[in-house]
Amino acid sequence: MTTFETELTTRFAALADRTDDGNWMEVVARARAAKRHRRRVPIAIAAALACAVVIASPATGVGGKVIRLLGRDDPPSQQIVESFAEWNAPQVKAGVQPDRAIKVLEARLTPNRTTTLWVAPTTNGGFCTSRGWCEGGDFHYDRLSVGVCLCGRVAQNGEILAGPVILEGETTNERANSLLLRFQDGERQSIPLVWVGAPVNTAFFLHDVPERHWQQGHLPSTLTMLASDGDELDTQEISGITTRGSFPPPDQH
Amino acid sequence: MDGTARELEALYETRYVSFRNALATVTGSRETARDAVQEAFARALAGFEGRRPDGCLAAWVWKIAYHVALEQRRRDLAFAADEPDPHLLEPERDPQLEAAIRRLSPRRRLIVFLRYFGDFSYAEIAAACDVSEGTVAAALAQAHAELRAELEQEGAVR
Repeated sequence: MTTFETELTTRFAALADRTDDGNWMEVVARARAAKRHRRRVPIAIAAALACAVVIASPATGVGGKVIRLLGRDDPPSQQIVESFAEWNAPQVKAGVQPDRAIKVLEARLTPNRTTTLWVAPTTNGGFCTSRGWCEGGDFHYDRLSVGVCLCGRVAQNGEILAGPVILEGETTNERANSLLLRFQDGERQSIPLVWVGAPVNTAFFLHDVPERHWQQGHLPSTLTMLASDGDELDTQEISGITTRGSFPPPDQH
Repeated sequence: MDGTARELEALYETRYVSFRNALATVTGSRETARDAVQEAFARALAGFEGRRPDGCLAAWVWKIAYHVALEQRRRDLAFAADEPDPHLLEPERDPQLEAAIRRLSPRRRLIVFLRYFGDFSYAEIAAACDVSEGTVAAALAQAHAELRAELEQEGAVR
């Protein structure tokens, strides 16, 4: 190392923040909260208020289902196309078809802000989503797949400092029609499922958990997948929404 | 816990702070960098990135963290495609160095930050940036020359 490199090392070291605010247990909890085969990208969006809403643009209704078909909507914006194109980077090679992306649904965060779920098919018959995960052409999951995104800020002790907190997922169960979210305090909320037609053939949901349900005693407890006739097709427990005390202090791990 | 998980935890314990500090030059704040590094290790641990390359673990996790940071930034700032502009978080603490760093290209700046904040070896930088080690060596040599010239011009080489 040259004298100048040594000087640079010293100067950068003087500027470096040595505070160790890392917490491996938080990493482990995040890994558990994210679901199965997902490749999730956290989305930092402003404070969350309300629930998912199905967008109003054209959809086809069959037997009460909300179905969206590729090629029937306006083409995606350049920003969306470029975002999906990242999945085709050399280290990923997802084979996504960015130009065929379709807007599936929106979650309203505030009266003026929403987050949108886009889905684009892949060349192998699978799909990628704008929420940061892809599935292969052999994807088939008739139960309800649920992921939790603590998309805002989380304190080292687990307390959620800022939202949104989003439940998201999908199913390929053809009988699935809607979802019922139950909370620890007895409250219930209905969540729409939106089907995307061939070749995706998957139903998606995106739900913003209101801030009043980020506390123990009020947390979401289960999410049930319902058929159009009311049959309960599957129920998943909701875990991964952390609260104060969920993580041990850093010096205890 | 499998081997990769143990390796990840060991990497986290030894390199978390340097990862966060290097990434903070991209995100613009320690808090957002912390979140991106946490998310990156979580994704690696959860096995989402089952495509872990045979090579450098640190470079692999860095790539994930960098991608997460870019996604955060894109959504926070509501623009899509422009290149990040890595910079010192507290330029007033060494304004001469800040001025000299600013004259480097963003990519070269990032390599400098990976080297000096992230404690990355040349091999790790090469793997993280998908370039050869020789390219990293050349880029750092050129960056050093530029920085030295700038700092000497300012009379700021100590």
